[in-house]
Amino acid sequence: MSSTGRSQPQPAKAAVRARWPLGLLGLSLIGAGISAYLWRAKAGEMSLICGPVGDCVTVNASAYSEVLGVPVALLGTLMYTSLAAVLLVEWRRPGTPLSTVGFSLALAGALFSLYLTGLEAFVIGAYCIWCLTSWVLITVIALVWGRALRRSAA
Amino acid sequence: MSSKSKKKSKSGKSGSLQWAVGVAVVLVALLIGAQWWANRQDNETITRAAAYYEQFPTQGTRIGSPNAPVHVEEYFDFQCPHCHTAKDQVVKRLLDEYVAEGKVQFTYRFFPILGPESVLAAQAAYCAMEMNAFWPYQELLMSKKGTGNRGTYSRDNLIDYARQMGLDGTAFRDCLDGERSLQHVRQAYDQGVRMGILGTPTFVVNGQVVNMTSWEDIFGVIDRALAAAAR
Repeated sequence: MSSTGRSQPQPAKAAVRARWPLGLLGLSLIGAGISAYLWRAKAGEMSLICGPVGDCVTVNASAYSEVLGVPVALLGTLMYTSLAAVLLVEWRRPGTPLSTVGFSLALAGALFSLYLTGLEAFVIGAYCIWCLTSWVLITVIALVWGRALRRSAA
Repeated sequence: MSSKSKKKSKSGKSGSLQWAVGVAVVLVALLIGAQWWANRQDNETITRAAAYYEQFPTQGTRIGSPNAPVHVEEYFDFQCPHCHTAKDQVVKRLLDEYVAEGKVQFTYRFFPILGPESVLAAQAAYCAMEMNAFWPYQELLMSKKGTGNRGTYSRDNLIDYARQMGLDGTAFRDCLDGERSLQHVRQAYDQGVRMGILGTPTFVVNGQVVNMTSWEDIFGVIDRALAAAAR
């Protein structure tokens, strides 16, 4: 804001700021749902429906589906839920430092998902449609979030 | 806001963005490192167990010489925390000091009483037994120390553990899903009930249930049985 005291209305910018956290919030909730489904299936409470693509049962039970005994799907559920909470805050009160923390978490999720997808292709030899969907979701979330932060920093 | 402070704010935001990327990269490196380390531990457990059990004569869930003067049995449940402790405190010493010297033959008896994953784990161990891999497989399952039906011994995990050991995953899955493995585990459980077993772990020496107040007690009973056999 300039020091002249007169502020000009900026409707277009305000609209963009208001939309992206809500869009990403929706994607985060979908991601949370997918991760929770994989997590409960890994615990043996639900059966996994893989569809025509790949073998999600093999992937979700592989040695790479856990980190120190904690299911990766549980980590994913916690991550998406946290992101949804941060995005809700970002939507209500844009520009808080929490947004940068959220972006960092989303980027970590996207990079770790990329690594896991590489494992599916080159080590496990099986694909999981739910995991691939989650990878796309978290990558989109990280890219859009990063772009929004860069814009506000530019 | 002055243009100077605006500039400062922008560069601060840009710096925190770089910082966020750095934190993300470090976080991912930690996750990958932790996963790599844990998988290495599993592989080491499998390799070590395979080498360790090769020194003993085994037949199904029995280990040690069939001519040993004393026969020790343990009724156990893969999800029982005291069975995990008994493995470290009793079974290991029993194998190293008694079975290795031909004094004792030891048998694991399935007695799954702690829920569906106890039954599944016992069935999976039976399937590993059919593939001549019971001993290293039970070692891997025990090292997981699963309790409370939380998924450690879910069907899919049990199949993956078998795959990690180099067993035929498809044959293992067929066995685990089949009636044969369930029937075997049911029979083992019924046998325990007939023996009057009430909980796990329960040790039986030469057909007599041992009442234990400490882990040490079992060795006293075994030593007395060995002395009686030597007379």
